[in-house]
Amino acid sequence: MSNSMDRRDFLKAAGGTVAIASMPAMSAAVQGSLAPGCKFFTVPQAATIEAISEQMIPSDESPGGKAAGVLFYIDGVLAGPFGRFYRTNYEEGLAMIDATSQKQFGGNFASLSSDHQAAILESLQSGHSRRESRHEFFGLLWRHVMEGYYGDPEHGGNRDGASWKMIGFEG
Amino acid sequence: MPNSKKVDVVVIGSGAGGGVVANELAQAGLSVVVFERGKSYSPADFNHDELNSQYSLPPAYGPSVFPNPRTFRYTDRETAQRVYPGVSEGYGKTAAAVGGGTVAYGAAAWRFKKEDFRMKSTYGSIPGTSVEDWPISYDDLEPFYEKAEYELGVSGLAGADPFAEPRKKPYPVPPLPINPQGEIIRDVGRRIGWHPFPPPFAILTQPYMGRNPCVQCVWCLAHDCEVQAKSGTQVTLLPRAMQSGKCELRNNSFVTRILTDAKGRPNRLEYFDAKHQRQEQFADLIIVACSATESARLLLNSADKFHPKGLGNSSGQVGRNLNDHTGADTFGIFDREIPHDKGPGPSIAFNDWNHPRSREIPGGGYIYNYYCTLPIEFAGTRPPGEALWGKAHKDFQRKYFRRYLHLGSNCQGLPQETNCVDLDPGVRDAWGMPVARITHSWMKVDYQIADYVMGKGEILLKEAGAIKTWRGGNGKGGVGDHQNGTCRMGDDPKTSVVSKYCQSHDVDNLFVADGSVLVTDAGFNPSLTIQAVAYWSADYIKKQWQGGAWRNGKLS
Repeated sequence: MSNSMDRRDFLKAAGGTVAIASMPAMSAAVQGSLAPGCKFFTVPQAATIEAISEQMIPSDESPGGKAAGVLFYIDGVLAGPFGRFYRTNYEEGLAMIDATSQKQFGGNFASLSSDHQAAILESLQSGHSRRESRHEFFGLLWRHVMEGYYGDPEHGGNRDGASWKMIGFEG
Repeated sequence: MPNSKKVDVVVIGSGAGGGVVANELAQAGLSVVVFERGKSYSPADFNHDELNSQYSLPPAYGPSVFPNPRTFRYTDRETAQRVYPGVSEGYGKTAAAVGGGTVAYGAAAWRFKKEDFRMKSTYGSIPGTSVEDWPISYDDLEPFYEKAEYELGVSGLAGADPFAEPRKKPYPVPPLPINPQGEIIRDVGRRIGWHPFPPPFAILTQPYMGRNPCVQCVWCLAHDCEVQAKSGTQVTLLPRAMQSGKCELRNNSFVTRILTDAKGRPNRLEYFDAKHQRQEQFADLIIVACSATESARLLLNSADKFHPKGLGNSSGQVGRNLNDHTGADTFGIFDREIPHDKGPGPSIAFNDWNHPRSREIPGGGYIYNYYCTLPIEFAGTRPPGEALWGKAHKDFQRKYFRRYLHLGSNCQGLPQETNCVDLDPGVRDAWGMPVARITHSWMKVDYQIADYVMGKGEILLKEAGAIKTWRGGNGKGGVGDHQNGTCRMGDDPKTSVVSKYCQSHDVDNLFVADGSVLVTDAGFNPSLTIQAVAYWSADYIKKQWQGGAWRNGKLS
């Protein structure tokens, strides 16, 4: 069997949340101040997302997830009309990642070394492929990072079409 | 009420089948109203955006997930969970817009093979399945396939597929150009004894009936067409129906029930208009064309004291035999560049493994080079063991995006009576109607068919020099844009929902004109067959009407 993160894997991840989709969105405004340029994420949440996006797509001769603005793509999804499907996942998932990071390495995810960050994501992914429900967040996160990095710059990520230049996609 | 003036025909749904019957009956002089729950899109809505397509999340082109959810379960031993098309597993990808699924379809325009109408006679009873023969044959449909091809402007090359059934006329327009991927699999296929040919598409390759040809962009599949070369009903049949002066389109209008008169004969629709106001529309003839899920649901929701199990459902078969294709995709990476920027993508196909002569599998599917690969899609396409993120992900994306070949196949899924659409006991839509509950899972034989075809695909890729090949797969179940089978046609009113002319066995002025009537689904995309069957049915309706049937409540 392929280990590809295919559409069905992602749908499974997202599907876990829809039963509570009608809950009102928790606004970042009631939890803390919004990160600069964000409409949903708080400052610490944004730092975690940026660090995750950079782990998943590190910078080399082309920009990584952070420089490509993946954060702003995901923030736009969560603040948008379909954000209700995902907001609770993100709030709980990011808190879970920080709690795991604290427990294993003594700091929030964004403050860890690159190796430790990678170890946290690997353990999340391995939980995902074993279909553990508490790790389903990984599938959602992965898909959104890829969408933000490879999607149309109009949606806030893929700044200057950097990923398209990298792979030779001319549209 | 403003809309209560009776018309001759109402058509519920404006997609592949609804567009055909609306235009045919309007051209014959009947007054027609077409109801469409979605909105109308124009070329101005088109954008080159992988995040705004029928496959993106949320999906473009509807359906809006909020007012009309569905519930899904694999088997009736489970409690169905609420699903949202495009967001949840188990259901997705069917557009709701003027033009229905044909707005953003891939436009493959296949004729089925003779065996596809005779699955039971060809392969016998297959345990666990509800495989049956159709009450009509390829020969019955041949003139109507031709009609559909000429009305739409299907491109293709007659005689190029040695496994295709006989046809009387050539295709109206020549096939799409063969792109670099197609050249590779054509040459390799020939070398290993397969039979390559350019597949048929409802995509223009030269000017035809006032429309322009394809510009070969990479955005075809799952997007509207910016030059209207793709022959969705919204740019072909519906405008013609409107120009006749006999057809009105009511979009953003959701039909909730078919209502009956004092004797139990259907005579009007209940619907909610664009302003969410309840309305009724009277008609002599009612044609349901909402695709397999929603057509079944509408009939079931129309139960009344005369039709306690649902309208047209004395057989108990409405909603049963819900079917779809399995996927049998294979992938290969190469150490040489293989450009894939000439759309729509598919330019060579093989039918060698669709009803293979060995009869090793019941059915099968055609193999073709897939639609142009887009960047996000490619990020999710990796061989087993390959990293999904990190530096290795990025290197793979960079190295292989242009050294990659994807072969697709829609494999025949076999129908099961227990795969079905019924009414969810707990969940209601925004109009207060029970939503569709979908129960669907694949059987072992479905996986066997797909595995057989994927094995062939890998052979082709390896022969083409792929340095690595791998297979896609299928989940436990679920239906999408090729859904079919919930109002099967048949001769026996006890075991089928509609006659061979798609007329309800129970109620003479009720017809179904969509994929619901398909008995089995073949290893081909369904739209041209849905349309050929709709032409066949419309031809019967016209003749009956001209003979005086149905007018003002008269029986046919």
